[in-house]
Amino acid sequence: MPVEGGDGGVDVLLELKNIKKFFPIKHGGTDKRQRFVRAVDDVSLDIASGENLSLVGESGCGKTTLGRIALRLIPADGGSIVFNGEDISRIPNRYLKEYRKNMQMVFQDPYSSLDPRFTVRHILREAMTLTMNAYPTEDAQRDRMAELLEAVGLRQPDILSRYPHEFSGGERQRIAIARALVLNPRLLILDEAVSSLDVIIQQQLINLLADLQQRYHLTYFFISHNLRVVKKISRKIAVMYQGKIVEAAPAEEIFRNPLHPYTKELLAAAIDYKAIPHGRGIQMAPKARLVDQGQGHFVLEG
Amino acid sequence: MLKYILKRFLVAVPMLLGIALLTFVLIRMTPGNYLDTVRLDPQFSQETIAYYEKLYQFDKPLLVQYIQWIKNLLRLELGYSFHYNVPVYRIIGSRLWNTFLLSLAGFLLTWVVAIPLGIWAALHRNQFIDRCIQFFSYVCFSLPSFFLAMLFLFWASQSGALPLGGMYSPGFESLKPWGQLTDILRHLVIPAMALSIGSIAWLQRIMRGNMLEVLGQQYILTARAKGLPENRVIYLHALRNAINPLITLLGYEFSSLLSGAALIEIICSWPGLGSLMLTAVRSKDIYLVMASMLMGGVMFIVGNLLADIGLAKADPRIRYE
Repeated sequence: MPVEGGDGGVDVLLELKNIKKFFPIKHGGTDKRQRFVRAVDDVSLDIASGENLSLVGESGCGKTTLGRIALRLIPADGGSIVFNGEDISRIPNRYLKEYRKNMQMVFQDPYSSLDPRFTVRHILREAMTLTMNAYPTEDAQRDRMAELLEAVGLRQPDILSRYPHEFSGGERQRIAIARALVLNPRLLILDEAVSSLDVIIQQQLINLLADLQQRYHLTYFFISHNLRVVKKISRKIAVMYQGKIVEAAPAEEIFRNPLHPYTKELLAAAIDYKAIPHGRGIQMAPKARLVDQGQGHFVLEG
Repeated sequence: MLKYILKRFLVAVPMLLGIALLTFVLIRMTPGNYLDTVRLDPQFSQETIAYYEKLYQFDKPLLVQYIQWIKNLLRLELGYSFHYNVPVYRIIGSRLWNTFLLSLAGFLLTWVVAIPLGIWAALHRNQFIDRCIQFFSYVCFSLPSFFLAMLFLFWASQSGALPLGGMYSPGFESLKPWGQLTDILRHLVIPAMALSIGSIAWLQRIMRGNMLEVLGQQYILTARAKGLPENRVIYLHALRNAINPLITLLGYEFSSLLSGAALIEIICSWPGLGSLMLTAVRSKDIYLVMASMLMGGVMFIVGNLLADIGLAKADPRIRYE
């Protein structure tokens, strides 16, 4: 529904329709009713091919859950996932391999997202051996690994035989990105991929991601809590709050003309470190919907 | 690595000397010695007792006795058992083997059952099967092993399915080699089970906990996102990381192979080191006690060393300089 490409006839790569995910809360005492956290509450998103979308919101707003649902790492309680025109939300897990090739994820913590027992060679090669036809020979695999490591800017000679713990945080995240790119995916979901790194490394990685996008024709789906981080690289920004998307618009539009009160708070926090978005006084009716404000700008109303 | 192992062996020498000293001091601090019981026996003359006192240097200061014992140790002489009236090594040898056999059986049973059980429980976390396993774990863990042993023995006495204690049947000598083996195995069942059920319960819980922790790690999610088959995710990525802390445990288990089974040995009248040591301590058969303690110390050091080497082999993050 929202976040249209604007220029009409765009090739929609990933479409999330009315995704819902409720987590049960342990009930105690005399209250026997099962309660739920509405982690993702009827969210719809489109990502056009080659376009970068950022999903921004505070911790616990459901953005990571949404990212994992999109990859079918966790099951949704409702809604559908359409990838490249095909509904993949009901495909059995064992047939998902084809789609996993096309969408990959880079996780927040580069210290735990790489298996400590595997060398870089092993980490990179594992996905290749899954699709034998793509890189059938040792030579092809070696070339591909060398190409990727060069692409992510890792140039140490003995890098393939080293273990993740021998690298710094920024280097590990580069490895994680190379890992995600092994099978030439079309969509990369970056879940807080630069959040745990310092500002300079963040900047380097953002630049690297921009280069990689050019080189490999990637589509990015950023998930972040920090508007400032995603400002440079995203074309569209969707703001999520308590399981709902409260505002979605082209990036410049969000920064120039934030309409929803929560977006304003987030923006203030991105500029001023002392401002903390608290969401006080923000009411969202269960029936609230996104209303078009023109120029691809949608705001939750009701 | 080789240098590290060598260093560990060098460190082990003073450690063993320390263990020997402590054992020696402790046992000599208790009042009386073996000859005191002999003294009460009117059959022995004062001269004989004085002769033995001189022979074993009980009249010399403790330090001299200790140094003498150590000297003998270096020549691999463990001393002489008063109680059994033979050199210590001749009793200890066979007993050591019996205890080792029993402990090894219990140890294998524990690990072979507990590890898959823990994995299974972790993969079905909070489901019915997991709850069942955890419930029985608590029950088994709470039951003392000697009580279990007695329960099993009672069952065996009622059903006659398994032999009641001991290690050999009366006609053991006349059996063929294959028959001898099965006979010993049949005798092993009850003590080994009594020994391992408690351990299975806790090891299973540790394995489950490790597995759950690892399954929550992001590299597991990464592996799933790669599109790996679930089996590969669990057995290649999760298990390899979850098994780490257990390797340390394995070392400790190894060190307790010789000492862990005393109670069960006594109840099931298994002719092992534990029951031997108990008699030795009670009759103040000091050389036998000290030799047994020393064996335990050696096993402990070797076990820890093995665990450290195993860890270094299994985990690339651990390197010894």
